[in-house]
Amino acid sequence: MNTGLERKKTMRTEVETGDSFMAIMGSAGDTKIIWNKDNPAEVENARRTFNDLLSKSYLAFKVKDDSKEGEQIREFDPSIERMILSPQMRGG
Amino acid sequence: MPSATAILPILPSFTDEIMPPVANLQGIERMAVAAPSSVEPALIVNEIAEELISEPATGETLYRAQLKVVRRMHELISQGIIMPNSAITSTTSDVTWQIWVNNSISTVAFSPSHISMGTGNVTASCGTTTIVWNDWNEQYVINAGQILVPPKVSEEERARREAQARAYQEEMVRKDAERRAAEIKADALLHSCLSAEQKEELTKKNHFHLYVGKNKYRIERGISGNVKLINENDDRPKHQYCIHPVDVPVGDVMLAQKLLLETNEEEFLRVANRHW
Repeated sequence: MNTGLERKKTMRTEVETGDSFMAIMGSAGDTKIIWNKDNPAEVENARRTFNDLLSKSYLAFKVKDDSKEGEQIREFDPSIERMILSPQMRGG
Repeated sequence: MPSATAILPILPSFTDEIMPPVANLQGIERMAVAAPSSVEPALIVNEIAEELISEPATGETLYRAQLKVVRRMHELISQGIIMPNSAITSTTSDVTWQIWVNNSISTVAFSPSHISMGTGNVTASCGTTTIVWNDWNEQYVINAGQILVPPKVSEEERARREAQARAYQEEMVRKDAERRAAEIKADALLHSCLSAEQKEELTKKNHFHLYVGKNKYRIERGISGNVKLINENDDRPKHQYCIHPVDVPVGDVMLAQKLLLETNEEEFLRVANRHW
């Protein structure tokens, strides 16, 4: 599935302390977009990706490491540490 | 060797059109009868002729007969008894057949082209046999070679095809490796969002449970129809739901189902198809 992420291949792939990331589901497994909320360029890149994908009917979820219930979100918030984006769900 | 009069009623009249399968088969049978018993291919077709006489000439009978001929011809080719793209020509030796055919020639040729056919009226009476049968056999070409014998290809073409086959195999191996890598990645993401209890369930039972309010759901490893609403009283599935994102690995599907259920059960139930 083309998630429009090709242009971001130069982005960081390792999550460091204090970083946030979104895991975007795709046919090859998830692709991570990482940002540090103090880095405007990274935040902007993440925001643009988030908005692009939501405009393609992706679903975004804020999740926590402790596996407690997350929350469906519709707006990008750079302070969220971990997000998962899923392609649109369909009835089968 | 069957008598010609017994065969005639099931033979068709031919035109210059391409014959449908059953008509093709009838042509094969006719050739079979024409073939002499002294040539091995003729033995096969004689057997088939007998079979055709002993059974009603239905499409199925004819089809089976056609398969028999084609398989046997293939064997003969593989044994080097006859050559593809060559003709077997011999005179008939059977007395009865001699009377009927009278110097006719039987031809079984392997050609990549469609069947071409004669114009003889095969419902003709015995009195016209020589003319009709000769006309028939001289012009009739069987298409068995097209079915069984690969056309001769140049070394260059063979090398090209082998390279193409190798590339295809390599592509399949590469795609399989990518698919497995994607599954591993998706499972890791799923596990990162499960509690210790859910992880254990998934590892041991290939499913995990979650509560949404008072509703207990089971998500089984799978892509479709793998979400169940569980009846708390007997722990049996009460309803089955099918809902999933498209073109993502199984682990991602299960995680997406979990996240939507937990965060927006109403939307989950609205989108999902309930099978029972």
